[in-house]
Amino acid sequence: MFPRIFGKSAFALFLFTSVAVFSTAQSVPGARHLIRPGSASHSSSATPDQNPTALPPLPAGVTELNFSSFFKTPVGPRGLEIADGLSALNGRRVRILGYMVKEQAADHDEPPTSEDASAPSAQNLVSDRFLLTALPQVTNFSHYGLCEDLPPQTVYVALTKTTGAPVTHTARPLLLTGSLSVGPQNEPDGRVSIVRLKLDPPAPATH
Amino acid sequence: MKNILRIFSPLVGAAAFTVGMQAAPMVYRLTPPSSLFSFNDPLPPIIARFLPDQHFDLQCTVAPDAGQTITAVQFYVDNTLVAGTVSSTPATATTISNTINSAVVNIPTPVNTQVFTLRHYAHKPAGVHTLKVVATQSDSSKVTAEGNFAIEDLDRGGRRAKNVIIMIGDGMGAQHRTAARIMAKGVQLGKSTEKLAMDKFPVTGMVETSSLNSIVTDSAPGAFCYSTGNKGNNNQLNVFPDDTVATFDNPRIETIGEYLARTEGKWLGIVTTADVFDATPAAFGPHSQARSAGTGICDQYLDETVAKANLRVLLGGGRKWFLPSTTVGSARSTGNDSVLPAELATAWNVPTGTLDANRDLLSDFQSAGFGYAWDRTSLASLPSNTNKLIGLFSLSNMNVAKDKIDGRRGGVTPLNGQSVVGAYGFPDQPMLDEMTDKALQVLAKNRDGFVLMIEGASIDKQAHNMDTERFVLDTIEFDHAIERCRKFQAANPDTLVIVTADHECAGVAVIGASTVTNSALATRAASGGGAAQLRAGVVGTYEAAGFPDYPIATDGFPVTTDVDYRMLVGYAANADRNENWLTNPLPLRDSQQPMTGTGYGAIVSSLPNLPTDRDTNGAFLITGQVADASAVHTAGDIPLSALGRGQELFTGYMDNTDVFFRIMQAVIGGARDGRNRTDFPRDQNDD
Repeated sequence: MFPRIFGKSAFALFLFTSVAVFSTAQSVPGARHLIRPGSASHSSSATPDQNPTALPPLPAGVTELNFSSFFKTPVGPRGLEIADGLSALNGRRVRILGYMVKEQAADHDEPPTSEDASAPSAQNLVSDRFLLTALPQVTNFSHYGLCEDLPPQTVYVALTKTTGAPVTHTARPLLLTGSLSVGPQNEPDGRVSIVRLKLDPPAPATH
Repeated sequence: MKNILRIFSPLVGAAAFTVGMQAAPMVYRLTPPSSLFSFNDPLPPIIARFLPDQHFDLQCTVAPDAGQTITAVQFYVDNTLVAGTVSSTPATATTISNTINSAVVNIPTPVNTQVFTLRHYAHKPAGVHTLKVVATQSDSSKVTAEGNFAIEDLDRGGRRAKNVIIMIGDGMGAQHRTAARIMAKGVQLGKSTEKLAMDKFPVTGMVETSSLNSIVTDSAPGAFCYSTGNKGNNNQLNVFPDDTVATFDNPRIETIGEYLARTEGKWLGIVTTADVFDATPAAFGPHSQARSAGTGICDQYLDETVAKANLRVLLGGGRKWFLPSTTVGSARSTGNDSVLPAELATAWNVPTGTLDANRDLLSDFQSAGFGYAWDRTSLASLPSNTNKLIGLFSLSNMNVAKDKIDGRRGGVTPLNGQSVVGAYGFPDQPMLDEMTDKALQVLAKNRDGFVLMIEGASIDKQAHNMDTERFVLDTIEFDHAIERCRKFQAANPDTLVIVTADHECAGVAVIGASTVTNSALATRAASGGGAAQLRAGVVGTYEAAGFPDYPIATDGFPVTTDVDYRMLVGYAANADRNENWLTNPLPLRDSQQPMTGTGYGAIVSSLPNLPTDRDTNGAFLITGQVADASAVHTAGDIPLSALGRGQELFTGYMDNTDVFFRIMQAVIGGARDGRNRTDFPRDQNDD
């Protein structure tokens, strides 16, 4: 559920909706989770047609983006095709709601699963990006290699300010605003990203 | 008596070692596996069995003493040196199994442990044969280990089956059939009004389904036992286990498709409603240590199964493995691709493969002459002279029968105004009987006959989810495909059709029927009253169950599954779930679905994730006996139904590996109309 932001200025609203909170190592002053602590990370009582609460008002110049609109439907004879609406948002500022993929580090005892010695190893979690999906997901490179269940509309979210520490996973839904990049691109982790979101930079501290 | 002899004697064929101290090099594994090697038990049943001239790899894992290396390994069959190159590779597994008497423990792999392989071996004389390995260490000391395997000879001179159709209802045990019969045919005054197509097969056997490493198998060895006649570890495909982490270097076993293409010129077809990389379809083609290595498995379908097993038909889901990684929706990646060791590729005469996530495998199939179908319409439109066919009807698993039928009927739109198949993005998926018809049309063109595997894949997947209506409707869909094969067999009498399963799933049990109407049940389900509302006064047992009645529509499926006084199914291998007995409007979430995240502002996908996310309004939680997120396979025996040329070979109780040899008897040696030997397999004769 989304709490009403009573008594907050529009500026503060803009601030905490543009940056996701990870850990104290990466926290930004004033930023906080959008969801009340204690909420279940997925609502089991919501019926398919229920729209439980409206999102906060959309900032000016920002388009709402939903995972379900990424690709043309029905699917054609081959693969998924980027929907025209998504292509049109390339380079534009968007807001999207989703879950951070929980990327588990490799177990120390396990040798790499990949046949290819040059394949990227995810022994170390990265500090400059996380993955956003419509559903809570978990990956574990050492268990599954790149044979994992990440859906095609996984969004690569790039942080504009990092501390070098690995991104700490948060289970709560995240409402993120930033600039969109659309189109296939090889990523250092060995996957191919289709959609990338560069988060708006955090506002300067006001205290 | 056998039981007395099974007090394992350490004197029989044991690797020479002293408990607790390695004073000589040690042999930790000898492949093919045998009770003789692992437990010093020479007695039947013999674990590894092959047809005369069926190829397989010999392998051993040997650890030297500290500071030494193994310098030479020789294999002997019946004390005769086996000619051929013995290749070696480091044992990269971090632990290996050490069997002392009958206890198996895992120990850290000793330094310089090597795996030695002699590829592509075959033996012709029938009977039980000893397999001995002699390993020499750098200080000239030696170690010897002994195991055994059997060559199953076949009677000759009978009437042979030209075509064999192996139909696998994944997870389909006896009660899955019962539930499908009750729903599809109905029972009146104690007798089913009509039989299922599978009930009309005249011969019945019972199959035990244990794998090489457990009483409870998974679909990989559960299917490749039918494909190779051998046991395997869970999660592995057409290989024996080894001590390297590499996925594609395991000791191979020649499959039914490879053998019959080579010796009889037969064609192979694989039809499934699952992703074609999945274990059951892959068990009839690729060889892999990991059933999850989708890119490598699907590459092997073209590079090996087409080339060596005459694969002519491949139908199912799984398009994501066939699109280059730059195409959206592709799942191809380096991490699950295959490169074979050069020595394996040379010995088996197959390509090594390359790490090519960007390969356009679909286009490569088309370049090899395969007609391509991507939905029901294009499948039906392919010309009738098509003799190579690939159909990929969804990115991953196809939707299940209930959701496909609801999509066809229209008016069922539980996902924000869309049908499940519409929201999925694949609104025109074929039914299994339609796929079967097209497969038979292609394969029947071969003068020398064919092997066709047809899988009803989501009987298992939906039983895991404890989604009663979906697994029953999938069983009915499977039965419709069986009916197509019955008709084919009637027109082609030299065809053998087998209906079986890889294992039982979820401990399905028809426990009775509802004693209330559908609307009363819906009221109770909305009440939040738990067991007091949804168990008491609802679950009719014994005579209170009566005879559930499901009117059937012209498409062969129930008009609705929300009938008054419906059949009720329980699950003995259950995980936690909420139960309200009503038909679930939505299937559980499939994370491969490309269109998840429906609805503006919705926090979650509309599809429930777990069985405990469903039916929560009734608050009737049934606690599972397993800690898994979904119900699990069981060790239950499987009924097998046989029809056609050689059907009489399939009576009695059998091990699942026996099915392969009985099929091969029918195809290669022929059945002799009641005059066949009944002591299949010979080495397990108790007399």
